[in-house]
Amino acid sequence: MATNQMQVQPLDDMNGDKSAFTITMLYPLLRATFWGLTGYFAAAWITAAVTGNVLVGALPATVGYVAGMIGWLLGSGVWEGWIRRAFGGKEAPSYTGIERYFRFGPDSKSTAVRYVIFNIAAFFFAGLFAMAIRIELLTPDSTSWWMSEVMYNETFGIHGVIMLLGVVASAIVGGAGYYLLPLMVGARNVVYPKLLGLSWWLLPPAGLAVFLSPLIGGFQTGWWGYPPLAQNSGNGIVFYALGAATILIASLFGAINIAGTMVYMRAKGMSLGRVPIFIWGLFAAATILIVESPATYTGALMDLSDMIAGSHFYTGPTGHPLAYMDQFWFLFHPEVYVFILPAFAIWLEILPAAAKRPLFARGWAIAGLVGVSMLGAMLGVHHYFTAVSDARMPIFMTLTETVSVPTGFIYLSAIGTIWGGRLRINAAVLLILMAMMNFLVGGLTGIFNADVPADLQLHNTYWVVAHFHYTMLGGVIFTWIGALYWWFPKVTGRKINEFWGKFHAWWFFVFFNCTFFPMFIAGIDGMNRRIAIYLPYLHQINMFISISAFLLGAGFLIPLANLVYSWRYGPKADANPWGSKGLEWQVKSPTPYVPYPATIEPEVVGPNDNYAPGAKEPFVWVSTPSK
Amino acid sequence: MAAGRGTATVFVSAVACAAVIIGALEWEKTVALPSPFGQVINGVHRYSIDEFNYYYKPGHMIWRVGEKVALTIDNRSQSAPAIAHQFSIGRTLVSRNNGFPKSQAMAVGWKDNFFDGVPITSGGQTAPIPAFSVSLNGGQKYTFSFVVPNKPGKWEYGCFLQTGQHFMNGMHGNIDILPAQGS
Repeated sequence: MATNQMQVQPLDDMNGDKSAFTITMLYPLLRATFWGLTGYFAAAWITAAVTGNVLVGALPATVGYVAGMIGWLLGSGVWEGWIRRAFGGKEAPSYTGIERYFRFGPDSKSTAVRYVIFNIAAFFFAGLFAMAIRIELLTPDSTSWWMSEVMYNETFGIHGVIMLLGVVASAIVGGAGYYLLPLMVGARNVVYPKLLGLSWWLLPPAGLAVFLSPLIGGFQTGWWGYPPLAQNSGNGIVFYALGAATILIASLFGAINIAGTMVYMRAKGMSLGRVPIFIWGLFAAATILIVESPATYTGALMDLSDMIAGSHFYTGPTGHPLAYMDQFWFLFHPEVYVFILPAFAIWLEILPAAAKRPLFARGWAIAGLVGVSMLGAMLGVHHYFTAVSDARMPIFMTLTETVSVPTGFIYLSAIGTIWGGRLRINAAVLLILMAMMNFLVGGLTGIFNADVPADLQLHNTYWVVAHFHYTMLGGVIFTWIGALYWWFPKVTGRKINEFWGKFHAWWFFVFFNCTFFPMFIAGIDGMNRRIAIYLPYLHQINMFISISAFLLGAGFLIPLANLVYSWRYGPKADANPWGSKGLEWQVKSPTPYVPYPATIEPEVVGPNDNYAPGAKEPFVWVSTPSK
Repeated sequence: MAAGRGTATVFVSAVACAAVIIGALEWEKTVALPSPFGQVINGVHRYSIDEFNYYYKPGHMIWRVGEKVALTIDNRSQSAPAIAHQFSIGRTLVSRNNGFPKSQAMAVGWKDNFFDGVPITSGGQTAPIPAFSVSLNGGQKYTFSFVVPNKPGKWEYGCFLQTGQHFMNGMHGNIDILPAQGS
């Protein structure tokens, strides 16, 4: 189990992270900020002056965003690291010290760490927006001292966009996924390292644009951006369309890497059946993004073109708003599987190691992951049953309910794995068991949403809000925090505080359910979603929801403090503290810049989740053949 | 050497960035009328009010009873297709109840129209127009003039299109009308 002797010596020679931090390491970040802002304001100013518009107009904001994005990317190191060489110049050296965390570069591990930082920051601010929503809903009428109805609309819109595209879209895929992807398949890096590096640098301006959209007029469409309301409710929709399109394109860059790395970069002996289950989950999610995301980001850009270029895709005499809904949900329904499939796969990755039992029904679990991703493309219409012809309803109802079959494979695989095992419950495993419970509630209530007769009643009520938060917050975010805890020793070389980990897990579980379960009841009782003002008989239950939400929100400071404190002062961890057979645990912690040195590499001789007594080691270390 | 050049780059970038931001924001201010008193030409106070989605520029004016005012309303709706906007001055909102017990009533017009009984000059003709308001499609302009009637106090202007949605989105401004000079 211990790190193979053959591996020790080369690994000791490769410690990149020892250089001390200096202020000059922040220069790429500063330069990116300045160049981005200069690009935005200069381009918006010129456009506004030339077209007789104002800075906050739709066209100047669009041109400014594009120029600002280019400035930001060039400043972050894309110029030296990528573009300059394309023009015949000198390429920047490979940064292996801590400066790689602050600049564009081809290193997938520092990219993944930046993803985690970005997701935590986005989660924090979008979470504050959620708190603002709950303050507004403390009273049935509009609270004049807090926010106007317009601000309320903008608040839940930004909360939705950022939580979905800025947090859950990249929480597991970006953080755990891009970190573990090369390690788990036994590669030294992903297949397109620079493309992966670029994918992170696209996110901060996009997220910032959505957050700051009220400065140019806000948008009141919620996170859907449906025309024709999009064209008529404020210019901030420009930043929404651009931000959402940018983040989807960034996800696509990551997805290309996931699929390419899994197909082309696997270690010797790693047949498709031996690919770690988490990589299968990522792959299933990546196929969804590759196949379906173009329909949706082009939809957002076509909507933008209706606003700035006078086209009539969705508005005006020849436009068709329903076409936007078709394009939007073509990705955004399967997008929730992009969020949840890696989470499912994390359960199946961690539970065998925690229960020391082989993964149960591995082939069926893979079939479940791939099956969900294949079915997902066919059922977006169930989001707007109230807007489509009757002929489409039974088809999409049936297809949607079919999804519970492959999802069932995954649940049965997880239950079969821990059945009869002796589960070692640490904070990560506890969070994952809770995520399974939460997602079960979210999944079962989804059947009612998919059922046309029930859906026509439940449509646009808090029932849907509760269902969605059970799957996303209860399913994905619980798993995300569990994954951060589980792989924390691999990234930092230290362990998190187990007591506070378990404490806040229970805190979350209690107040999460206190917040969102009553929303099912409020929804059935007639509480519409996306309203600042509701009927007085719903006051009591909303008070209860709001107070639980404040406690839930405050509880998120515990894992934040735990992660930050443990990163500096946590107890030192071994290379393999959980006794896992995963390939990523066989290298040193924290992972060296090049996880597998030039001289040696792993060869896979068995599945990595076989914990049966007496099972042989799944890997042997062999010399890299000289080419 | 390399660090020194890096510092210089960051410093120059910061200065250029600050210059562009300040320049752009200052320019943005000049697009609107600088003074709430308008521009006085031949004794006529001229105002140009730009209508955007969903605000007016300027959002505040100061008039005096008895002075001659010429207003040019310019619909500069930024969206494509540009949308129509309205301009009317009044006091006390008329709201339509939508069944909810409190608030959430949509403002759909004024109880007192400022222009009641005020002769309005437009296109060479002068006559009082009941419930006067200006509705313009995107890109249209309209100029009219009048003498500020003896109705001092705080007045508001707004756009009530789309059942008051424009007003709710912030498409309103206010006018302080001062008593006549010397009174």
